[in-house]
Amino acid sequence: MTISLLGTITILVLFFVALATVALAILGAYQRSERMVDAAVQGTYTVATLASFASALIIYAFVSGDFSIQYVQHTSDATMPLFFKVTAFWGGLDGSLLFWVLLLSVFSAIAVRANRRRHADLIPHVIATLGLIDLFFIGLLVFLKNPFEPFLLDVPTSGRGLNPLLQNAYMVIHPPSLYLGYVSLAVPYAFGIAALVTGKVDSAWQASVRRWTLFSWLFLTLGLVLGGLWAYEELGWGGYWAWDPVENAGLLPWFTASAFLHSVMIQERRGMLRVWNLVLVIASFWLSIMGTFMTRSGIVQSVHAFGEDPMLAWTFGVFIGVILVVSFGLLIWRLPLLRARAELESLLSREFAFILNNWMLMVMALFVLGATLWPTLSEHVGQRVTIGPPFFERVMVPLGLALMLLMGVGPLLAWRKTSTASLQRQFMAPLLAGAVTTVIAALVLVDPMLTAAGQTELDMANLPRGLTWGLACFGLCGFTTATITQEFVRGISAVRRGTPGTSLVDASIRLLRRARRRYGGYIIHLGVVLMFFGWAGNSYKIERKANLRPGDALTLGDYVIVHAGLRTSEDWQKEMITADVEVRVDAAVQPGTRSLAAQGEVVDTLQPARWWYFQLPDQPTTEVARYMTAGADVYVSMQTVDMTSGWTQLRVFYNPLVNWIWIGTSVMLLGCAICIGTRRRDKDQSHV
Amino acid sequence: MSARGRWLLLSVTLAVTLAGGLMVGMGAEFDASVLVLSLAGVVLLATLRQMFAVVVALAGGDEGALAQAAVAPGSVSRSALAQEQRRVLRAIKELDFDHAMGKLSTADHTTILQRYKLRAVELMRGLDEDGTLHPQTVTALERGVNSSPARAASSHDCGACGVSNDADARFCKACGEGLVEAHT
Repeated sequence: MTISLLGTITILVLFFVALATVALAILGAYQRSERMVDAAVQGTYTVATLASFASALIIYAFVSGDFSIQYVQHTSDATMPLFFKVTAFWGGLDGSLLFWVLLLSVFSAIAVRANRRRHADLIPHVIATLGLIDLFFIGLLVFLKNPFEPFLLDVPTSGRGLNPLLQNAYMVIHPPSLYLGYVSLAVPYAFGIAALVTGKVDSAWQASVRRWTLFSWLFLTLGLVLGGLWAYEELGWGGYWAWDPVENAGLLPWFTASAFLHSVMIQERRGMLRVWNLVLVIASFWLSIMGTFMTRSGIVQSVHAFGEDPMLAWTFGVFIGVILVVSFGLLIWRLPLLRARAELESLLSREFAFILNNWMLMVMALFVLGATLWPTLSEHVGQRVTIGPPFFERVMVPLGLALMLLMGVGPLLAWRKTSTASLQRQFMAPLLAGAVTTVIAALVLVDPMLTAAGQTELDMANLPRGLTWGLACFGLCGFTTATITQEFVRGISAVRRGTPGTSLVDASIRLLRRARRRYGGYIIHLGVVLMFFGWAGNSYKIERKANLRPGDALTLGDYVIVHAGLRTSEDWQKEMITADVEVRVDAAVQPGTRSLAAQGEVVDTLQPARWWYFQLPDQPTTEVARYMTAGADVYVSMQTVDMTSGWTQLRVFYNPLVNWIWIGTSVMLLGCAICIGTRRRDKDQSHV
Repeated sequence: MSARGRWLLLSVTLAVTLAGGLMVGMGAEFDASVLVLSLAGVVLLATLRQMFAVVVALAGGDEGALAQAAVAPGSVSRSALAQEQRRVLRAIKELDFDHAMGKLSTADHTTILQRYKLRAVELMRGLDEDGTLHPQTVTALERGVNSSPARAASSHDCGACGVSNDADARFCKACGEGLVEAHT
């Protein structure tokens, strides 16, 4: 039996087993039959193992080079390293759908196993919901996109190979990470739906999903940042985020998941916002499916992709509509059960700060969704409108800064009510810190900011946008950092007052254990502050495009960039042209490019290159080179090169503070880990 | 996993290891594709076992229908009460913490705390099946609610280490020194 036949049979069996599981779960819930629910639980595990088997088969086909399977032939070739052969599994559409099924099945099994006893009454409904979602994707595999589809005639003997752009370590981690985030959002959704169906809309369902959502959020964040890092290192246009529809698709559920993580705390403490939390869970899942749809069907980028596979696009469209109607239908049906038993007492309370934060995140999500879909929608009305990054930035920058302000203010407020006397005491230090940071930033950075904006003198009537927002961002970074520090300091001193004689370290550990989620959250906020600090650097970034011959030089901020020569080389996969570009400092800057070349001290020699893969000779890749410091990146990419005359077109960027974004992400992951590792302890405490 | 299942797993692992060792001994080559294929084989075995488990579950008896209390709109279930109680207790903890960090004035802290404590008592009464509390609990709670926390705190500082304790505490929570003499 060929692998392609075995695989196809496996997927068919998978379809029927999933169908049977859903049927058993629904029947079991309806007849209250323990036997059937038990069978459905076992069926969920079976679906997970079957999906793993199908995935193992396709990986085997890749590793052994079975080019009789179309998908394998399209996305791999025999010369690829083993690592990329395995990861080619999710390199194309059909395989990534199978990968999606694999993840969803495994997550369903884990979620069901973890909550089987604790929430026995929700379980059949959870299984049915997750099973139906899984069934949809398995159905896509069976009817539209079978990854095991063989060539019927003319079996080729070699593969076409994976796009060289995708043969990159970030590209290997980035899609699975985003997928983990997307797919795991289905679990909170299923619990929310189960709560609605059973009418047990108290907080029980959230206990099961809070950690899941944090987990999803963690992987979404990681996936987004790695995607940005990939774009930055691989595409060579000098940035990491371009408000591309595919990027936005990942950002959308991130907004709603962040909102949910905040608002769930209010429900936990105060029993408020029950409807809103359900809306957020539904929206997060819906947006994750929408994101898959947008990235997978190609509907957003152009109509041609839509025309290429109208069947897939329509199926997805119907699925998205069904999710929306069914979920909100259930929600409206259960509205009488969802009335809150507490209300907002004061506008100066942490609850209100959380609600504001939710509104802002929601507005951001809606804006990005609207602006992403607008070009496609406008096409149906008439002229296609394109929306570029400046449009996004005009709205998102102020909103992001407002959110950051709220991040600084929120923790200073108490639940329920904050007294005015305490307000003064709380806000004094952070406000001072914010003001000092703004002044320092203004003193140090106004000159480079003006240079970046192309002005020579400070013109108060016509301030460049970058300058205003940049300074505001730096000030807010100072303010929020001070808030977080103050929270830690006061918390530690409160602990030490309660139990005198504890050392500083001991008191910090006690504090973290006493309110781990709270302080873990603050650490995440600190990571966000670092990322904003990195973004603020955009206000004085410099971009240059220049044609240089070996020996020429140009100035870039405080640096001098010297073209030191060109080299060609070749290996078994590709032909390469590499430029040696020297980065010099301390040059007395004088006009005239030739005279510069001899000056200054060389701090680094960058080697940007262009690679021509033999399998794709007309699509050369741009290999970027960077000189990294904590203060800025010097980023060089080679655009075109003429070996006979030596003219090289270089794009040179001075990207200030960009590395703080990646550092901030690591801090965020650390904070997330602290938060995730908390639930068992919480539970113990609540039972004592 | 049952004891039989564990034995089965152990013997299968042993057999696979033996077979693999024999093959290596006879000079067979192991490359990635063989590894992936054997992995697929193991997963297939697990799948078949799991399918069998479905059949076993279906064939099993149906003892005791699922306890699913029908939820009438407007009724407050016991679990909801218990949850609210947990929420109130946690809120009290948090309130004390906020007060200790200086976010709440003492006056606000006192009024909100009293409201929370009353609610907690109410909830406890609701949770108690027959609606009555143990007489000692009642007096303890009343003392806790009626005495001003500020006054109570000052009179319950531990004589040995100075830590402030709850109004009804009999031993210091930090050092274990007896506190009963302090308020008798």
